[in-house]
Amino acid sequence: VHSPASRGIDRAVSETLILFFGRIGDRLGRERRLALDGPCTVGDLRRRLVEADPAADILLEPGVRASVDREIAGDDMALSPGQEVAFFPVFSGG
Amino acid sequence: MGAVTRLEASTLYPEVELARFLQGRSVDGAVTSFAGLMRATSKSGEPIEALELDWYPGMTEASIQTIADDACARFEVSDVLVIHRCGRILPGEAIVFVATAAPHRRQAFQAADYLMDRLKTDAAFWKREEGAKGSAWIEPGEADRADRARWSEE
Repeated sequence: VHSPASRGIDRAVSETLILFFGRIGDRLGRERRLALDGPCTVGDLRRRLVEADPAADILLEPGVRASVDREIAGDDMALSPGQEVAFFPVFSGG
Repeated sequence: MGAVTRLEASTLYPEVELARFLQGRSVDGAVTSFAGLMRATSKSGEPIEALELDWYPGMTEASIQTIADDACARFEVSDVLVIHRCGRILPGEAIVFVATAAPHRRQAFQAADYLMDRLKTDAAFWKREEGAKGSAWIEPGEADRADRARWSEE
């Protein structure tokens, strides 16, 4: 039923966009995309990013916070496909 | 008007913003304004060539709006305006402009003071100073945290 093109779109939609800010962005670049198959929490995502790229171990440092769809989120928050996750250090303020 | 906030990627002109804020005002007895400018030296005295304010589109604007809304709820003010720069800022440029209008001066002063203390710690920015010796990410200092704590609920 699905054409190859539509499967491509399905895959794109189920990918999670991951953004990095501040010194984390300096180290890892601004964004990465990851297809999450199966249950995954914010904490799991940190570990998966480190498995894929050792430079991402910066995400395991204390004080590196996360947000899901632009709301601060704890490591135990379960992710759904298509959500936007970000990792960043404590705000510096303006 | 209530709490109006804006995030600006280009030059901010405090004198223009203040003139606009004052225009047509006939009920309130007090308007205060504050402009924060970029210093040419770091806390340790090193010269700074530029400041980079990294921001998260959507989240950063929301954090500034929350701070402005909190000021409106906390003080007897008619209007609050907060304009914040993001991106690359050069020494002498305005980083932030805050204006408050109130029936009486005390509330206008206090609301502006509160806004700045909150913005300096709670606004969703990541700040990097660039100098001749390289660049460094800056986090809020003890003095900023102590200023912020003045407004904590008991």
